[in-house]
Amino acid sequence: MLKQQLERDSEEVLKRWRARILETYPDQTARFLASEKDEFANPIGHAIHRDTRDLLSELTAGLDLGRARRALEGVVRIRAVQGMPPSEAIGFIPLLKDVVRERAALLPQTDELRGEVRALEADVDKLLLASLDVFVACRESIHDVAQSQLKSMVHVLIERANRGKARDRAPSESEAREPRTT
Amino acid sequence: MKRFLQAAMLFGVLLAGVVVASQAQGLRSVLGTVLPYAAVAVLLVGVIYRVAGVWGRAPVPFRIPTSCGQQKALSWIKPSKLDNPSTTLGVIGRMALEVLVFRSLFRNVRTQLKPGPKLAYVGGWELWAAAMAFHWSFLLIVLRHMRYFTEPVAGFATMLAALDGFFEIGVPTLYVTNVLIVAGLGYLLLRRVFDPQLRMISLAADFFPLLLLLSIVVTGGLMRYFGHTDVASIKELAIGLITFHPVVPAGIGSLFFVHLTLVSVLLAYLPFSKLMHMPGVFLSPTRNLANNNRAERHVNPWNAPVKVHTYEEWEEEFHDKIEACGLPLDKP
Amino acid sequence: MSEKLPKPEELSTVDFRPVDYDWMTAKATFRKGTYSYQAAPKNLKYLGLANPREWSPIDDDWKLPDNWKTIILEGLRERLDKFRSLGLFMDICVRCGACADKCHFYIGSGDPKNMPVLRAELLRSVYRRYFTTTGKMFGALAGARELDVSLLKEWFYYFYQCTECRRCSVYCPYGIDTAEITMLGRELLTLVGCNINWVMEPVANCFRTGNHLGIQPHAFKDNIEFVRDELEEVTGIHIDPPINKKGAEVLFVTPSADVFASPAIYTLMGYMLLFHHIGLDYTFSAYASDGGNFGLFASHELMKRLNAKNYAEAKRLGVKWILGGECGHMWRVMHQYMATMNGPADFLEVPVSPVTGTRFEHARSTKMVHICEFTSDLIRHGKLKLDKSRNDHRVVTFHDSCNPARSVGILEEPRYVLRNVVNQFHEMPENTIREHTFCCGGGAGLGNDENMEMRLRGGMPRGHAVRHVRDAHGVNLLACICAIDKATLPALVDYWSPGVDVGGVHELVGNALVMEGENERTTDLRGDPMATSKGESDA
Repeated sequence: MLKQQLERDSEEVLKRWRARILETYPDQTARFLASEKDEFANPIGHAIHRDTRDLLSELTAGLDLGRARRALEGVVRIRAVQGMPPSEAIGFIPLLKDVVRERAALLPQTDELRGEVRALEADVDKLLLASLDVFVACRESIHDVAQSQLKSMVHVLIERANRGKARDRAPSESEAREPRTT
Repeated sequence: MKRFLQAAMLFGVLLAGVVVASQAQGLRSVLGTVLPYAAVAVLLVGVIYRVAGVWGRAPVPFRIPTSCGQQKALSWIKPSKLDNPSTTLGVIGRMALEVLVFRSLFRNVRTQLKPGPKLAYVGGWELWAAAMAFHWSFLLIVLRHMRYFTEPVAGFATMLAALDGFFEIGVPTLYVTNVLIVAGLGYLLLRRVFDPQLRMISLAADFFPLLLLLSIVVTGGLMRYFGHTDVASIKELAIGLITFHPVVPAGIGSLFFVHLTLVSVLLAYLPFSKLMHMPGVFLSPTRNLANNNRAERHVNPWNAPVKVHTYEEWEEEFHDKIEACGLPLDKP
Repeated sequence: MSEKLPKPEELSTVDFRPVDYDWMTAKATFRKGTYSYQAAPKNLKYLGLANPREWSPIDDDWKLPDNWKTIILEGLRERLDKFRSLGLFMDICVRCGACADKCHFYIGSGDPKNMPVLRAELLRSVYRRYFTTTGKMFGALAGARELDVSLLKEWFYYFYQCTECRRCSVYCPYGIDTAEITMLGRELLTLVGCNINWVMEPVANCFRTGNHLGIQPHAFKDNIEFVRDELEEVTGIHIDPPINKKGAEVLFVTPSADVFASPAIYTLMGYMLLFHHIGLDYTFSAYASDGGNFGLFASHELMKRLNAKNYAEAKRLGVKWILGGECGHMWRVMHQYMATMNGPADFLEVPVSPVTGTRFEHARSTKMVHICEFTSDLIRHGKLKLDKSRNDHRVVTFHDSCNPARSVGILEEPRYVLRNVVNQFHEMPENTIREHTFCCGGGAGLGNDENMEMRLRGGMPRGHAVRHVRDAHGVNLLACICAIDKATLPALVDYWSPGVDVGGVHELVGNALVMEGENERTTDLRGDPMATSKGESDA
């Protein structure tokens, strides 16, 4: 029942959730993120808009962690480079619990509802843990891209060094290239 | 908000002072003659000093236009003559677009009107429209005021007044520019007060001129639409000012002196403020130069010699290595 | 139960929103990943610059000279007298906010001081305090701020968080150019020795050896020959690229990344094939071995010191004109500064294409032509034998690099070339290309790895536009004409839009060129397999 309610109310739920997320940005930035709708002029705002929608429908339609991870990608990837501590970067997930409780408070308070709230909160916790994974993966990939930049900057020096040895042994090995890391 | 309050307080004190002064009969000759002359003198000296003495004195060492379109290079690729001009004529066109229709500000509109996933956002459009409404109305109102300074009334002033009152709403006829200027200034002020982003970047010096301009517009409007204003006497005063035979006829209401004094304040304030963007925009080196850098050499008057690493020094330093790898040497 | 649910107003106490942010009092905090390391003293010493010392931006004490404040203020006064742009840009900003959301660093970071207007206010507030009557009289009320160490630190933090891309200046109603303000702000910082190493090391290297990496002449030759050998493996064509050859018709100047970094070397292969294909009489120079000029990112003086070698070398070698490779900031210098600083180049001739006879009138004074101008002229006259289908394994989009787009206006030439060498070309969204283009986030000396997090923020708008065409059209190659792009965009797309490679326009030209006597090509210049038929392209 709660899930159906959230689905019906999804616009309102999303509005409140997004408002809470935007509150984690400074005033003047929040206004920009909220008002500028162009995906390319405002990638953060757009990602928040899209990913919150996807995550909510994950929760109401039955959580699939694989799909949820992909939905988490956008916002978490952005927040991973915005200088926030991890708690803050993924802190937008539990904000949804607050919204859920608010909505639940509007319904007749039954045992069934309480059960549903608990179940949904457990799902949000799963999302939170998944977002931690995504966050850590993003942070690691910052390291990786820095590494691979360093390598490509001195590409010729490395290749020349490697090639020099390879050629001494067997010229054909010079065909072997490092697999590209894209 | 702090800086808005500061500006509002400053302006409040100014306005109160002006209102009090306008009541005093003894001060009328000061407000009606001395102050306008002083204000115009400050304006002229101030603007000339800033434009010729400060900006003009500093050279333009490099030609650095911002190119906002295709360059002129190959004959068969169409250049963007106005957004990336390569000729003086093009520059004049670019500047005309910039000054008359705020071309660059309009770019905000164009980019933001591109449909996003859902709604098109029009915030940039509002800024452009408000700026256009304010600046053009202001210009037309100033020109329309020439009817007070000319006898017989200059033809263009009469014509403008007729056009401006085209809709013939109310008595006396409502001028379209008066509506537009209030709307424009109002929007420009409100966005600075209520938009957190704008509020943060705004200084007291951004609110102050808006308040000043609004008060001038409002006092002018009160005189026209609500007061009983002795237009003949005001014209006598205006003609007196412009012919250097200043007189202050009796019977002019104090509201007029408030209006005139605020205008004087504006004129005297202008050279010390951001309102200098008016002459400044013509001097902006990213806009008023042709992007013909590779065709015509730009000369820098202070092009000072610098320490360089000459080929000879380079060859000497790496002589043996150059020789060993078989590259040619100037001094083997 | 319901009383256990917190009310919305209670929840709103849990927020991270900075209350009452006031830019005039907020200070810069140096967090790892968001600033560039200080310049090593050896580099400043080599160049004869001020205050070489061991220090770090995170130290409290920056070991400034005792009279640093006088130095900065005198420096500012001197620059106000020498640059009309500076005084004008200080005076006429109305803070309309049109620029605020145009900066890629602001879009990606949300840090208010990355709004161009506030970046400029950092300098403007000091200007007001010491150079205007109102500022001297009214202080903070007039937007004036006292110059102190924490303000200097702000300058360092934020002037090295601007890539001088000029995007904001496109939208400014007065054309106020933050690049100009950042350049002069960095000049002032240079006066007291507050530089970053990623600028000063390349500058010192470039002054000594002629190129940013500090490759000495013999190694420069080796590198070129390495690339030549690679090229021969792929194509079977043997080329002997001339270096320091006197009497050649054309001096070819290109960023040094083209001879040592991946993927820039594939662009170099493209140039070599092209020049061989048309039989151009050209030469590389081991002295003018870098067209790039990191001096632009430190001061006008250093820019001039590094740029001087180009004309000097053209004169020494006795060439007729200069051809310039794919590079962004190099082209800002060559186009807007070179002739003024180190010209007139009256010892050279107006460039004429030896193949088509086209006289490049637009370059008649500077005598330097952009490779994309040169190549599109060749294609237009049908002088190149091209097989587009050799790039069918590539679905291409084009990234306008900031300087060619906003300081020159080279927009159509590279697109014309691309359309003639690839079959599958898709533009990114219109407000992210041409004069609206978004920076890679690593220009102006910020492309170092210690600054990676800030770069990824700044590169977010570009990254998202790339991802959009990747998802919509299957784009797998981001083509560009800038060596800094080729160095920094791979990191950017790896993070924001994985699966897309970065390459030069002339790499694709090289793939498509049908050379006389070549092997049957099964791989592109990178050694990656070509699509054997159009149907197999991974669109």
